[in-house]
Amino acid sequence: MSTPNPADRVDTLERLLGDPEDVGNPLGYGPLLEADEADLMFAAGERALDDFGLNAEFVPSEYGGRLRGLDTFIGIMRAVYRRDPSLGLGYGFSSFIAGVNVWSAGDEDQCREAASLLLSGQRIAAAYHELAHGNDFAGTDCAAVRDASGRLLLSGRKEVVCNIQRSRALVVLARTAEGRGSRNHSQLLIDKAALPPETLVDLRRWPSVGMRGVQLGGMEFRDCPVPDSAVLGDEGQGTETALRSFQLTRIALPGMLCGVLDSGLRLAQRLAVERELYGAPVSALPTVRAQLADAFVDLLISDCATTVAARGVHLLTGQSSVHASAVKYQVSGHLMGAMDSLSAVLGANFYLREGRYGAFQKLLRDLKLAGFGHAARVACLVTMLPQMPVLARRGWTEGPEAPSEVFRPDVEVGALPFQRLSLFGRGRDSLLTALATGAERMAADGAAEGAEAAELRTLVGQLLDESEALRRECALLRPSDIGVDAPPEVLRLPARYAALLSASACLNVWLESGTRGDPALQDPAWLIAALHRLARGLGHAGVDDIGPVRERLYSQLAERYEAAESFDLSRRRLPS
Amino acid sequence: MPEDKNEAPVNDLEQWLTRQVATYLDRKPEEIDQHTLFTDHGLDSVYALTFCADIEDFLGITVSDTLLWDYATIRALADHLTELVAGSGRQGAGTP
Ligand SMILES: Cc1cc2nc3c(=O)[nH]c(=O)nc-3n(C[C@H](O)[C@H](O)[C@H](O)COP(=O)(O)OP(=O)(O)OC[C@H]3O[C@@H](n4cnc5c(N)ncnc54)[C@H](O)[C@@H]3O)c2cc1C
Repeated sequence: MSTPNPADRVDTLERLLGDPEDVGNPLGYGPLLEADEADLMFAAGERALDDFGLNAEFVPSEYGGRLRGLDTFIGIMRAVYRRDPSLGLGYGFSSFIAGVNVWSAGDEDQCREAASLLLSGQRIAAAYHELAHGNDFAGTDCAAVRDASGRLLLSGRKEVVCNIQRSRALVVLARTAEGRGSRNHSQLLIDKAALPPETLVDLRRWPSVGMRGVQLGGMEFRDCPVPDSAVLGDEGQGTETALRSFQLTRIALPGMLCGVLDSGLRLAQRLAVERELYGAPVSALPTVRAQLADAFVDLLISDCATTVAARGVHLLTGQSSVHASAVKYQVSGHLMGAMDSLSAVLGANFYLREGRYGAFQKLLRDLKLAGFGHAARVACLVTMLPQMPVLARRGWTEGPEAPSEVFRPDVEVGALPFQRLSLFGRGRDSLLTALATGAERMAADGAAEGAEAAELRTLVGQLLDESEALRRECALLRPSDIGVDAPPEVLRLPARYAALLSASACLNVWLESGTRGDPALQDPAWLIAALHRLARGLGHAGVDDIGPVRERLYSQLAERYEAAESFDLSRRRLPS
Repeated sequence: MPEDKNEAPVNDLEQWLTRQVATYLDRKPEEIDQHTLFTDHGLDSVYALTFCADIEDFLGITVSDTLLWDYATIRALADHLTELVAGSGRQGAGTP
């Protein structure tokens, strides 16, 4: 049987989940809020995802699943996050994280084992985190040590790990040699059912502020005998595998979380059109329209940035280490900022845990994970920093040209190149280069007209100035500046870089949108608003008066709302 | 102290590597031992990227992104790079 195409799969999933606001929908906001209040996974939602066979999306097609393009995966998972982020993480994304490490480093048998577990509907927990070490993976203490007979014995604890109790298998990061070096850890794929139960002790569950239904547990390993066949790749390869694999998952996470803002916007617009104040709907207030329009722009920036980074994994070989940390940092900021701003639009209604807008507070709480989960935002900057001087020296505006398909989500990419992920981009970055080439193309094409063309020129000019200033500053970085103890001023450099990458993604997605049918994407309004927002964030002036553009964007948002369409790039019809 | 067991670098490449490490650590080349693990020098993975790029630019070759994890001392790295350069048939700037 052939796999239905990705867009159809998202539609099928959306239909299955139904209209969230329909009070009669067993998969709607009402029942899912009840589950959240009770700190439970949303059982009806999990059954629906079983029916859909969501786990197959985590398994590469060569092992019998449906995983191919990273952007496609994001699109499907975004539908789940749009409904219930706890379901996204707790049903599935943690299995995806574990899986990616297996597909990256595992041998044929290990890949088949993981695939068959997932395809039979079971879970694999990703057990990296230890309470004592947080983001500092090199500190990992949980150890797999050989006994006199040469058997690997695993001991130690992993805590605050999603699904560790109910999963069938685990991928565990364990120390296999002393010291802080990068060859001292290994990843183990462990089938819990195959090991003596008394050596695997479940620890208590951790209650949480957001993602409340997600089962965060812990496990203590007591001299657990692990077969050699559990080691993923070579012994000592664990850190390397994690650093490669997490590039995919750090792009996917913010990409999926765009679904949260998508739903947040819908709830806020709903209040704005339904609630009347001073004899008119709240949406008649210009500040409210501005807040909504800005949040819409944040969503489009976020979608462009993550979509392009995801496609870059396939099409810009070896360059994703910088892109992954950049989008994890940049997009989480846009998403959380936009949701905070929308909470102001909702006013007291965002503070209430039930009623017509009761889902908003849950989405807001769940989204907070974007800031610290799967690498803290600041840790992402620290990861980018060492590459900044090399980029300044080598690439910057002279990277290899990005193929146009990078910016065209309508073109399907092939299978994920797990083996071609590189730990550093060697100072090449086609996305940053594409800011300059995109600017040239814009000038040559005359893609926009009149006042708008002038505004775009102004904005792109500011961003190119920024890029050049940043290059000069990065070229001056000394080795002693780029360590984990870098001061905040220095960490601004990768943060600025991340904003420029987002700008490049927006500009080029817009330039390529001419080849597609969506008139709303071709309208330069969103691009002007996006570049203005990014330029202002970088301390530049932006355009003189963003007001008219904002008004136009607000109308587009209102149109999509009325038509029950999503607010992201896909502008897909949602059940209503 | 590492100085005690320090010996002179055996060739130009090793000398250059030693100077690089000293620069990263803000120390004198004489204080850098060729047999100490990079991590024990306090050179963590952050510097590995910079070091890789510096090596590539200096020798005009492309190296593996895990180079410094797999050849974790100056001596081991120098030996490996010498072979690499010989193998690639290029006369790298730092080869003896
Ligand atoms: C809902 C949820 C689900 C989770 N699921 C899993 C899972 O499935 N598997 C798993 O292994 N773990 C999981 N975790 C744990 C999660 O991975 C950790 O919480 C995460 O790694 C961050 O650690 P920490 O927040 O304790 O931060 P720490 O690293 O302890 O951070 C403390 C402070 O130091 C700062 N900091 C950290 N590193 C740097 C740096 N390099 N530079 C500058 N500042 C820095 C941080 O920003 C923060 O301010 C989950 C957690 C939650 C809440």
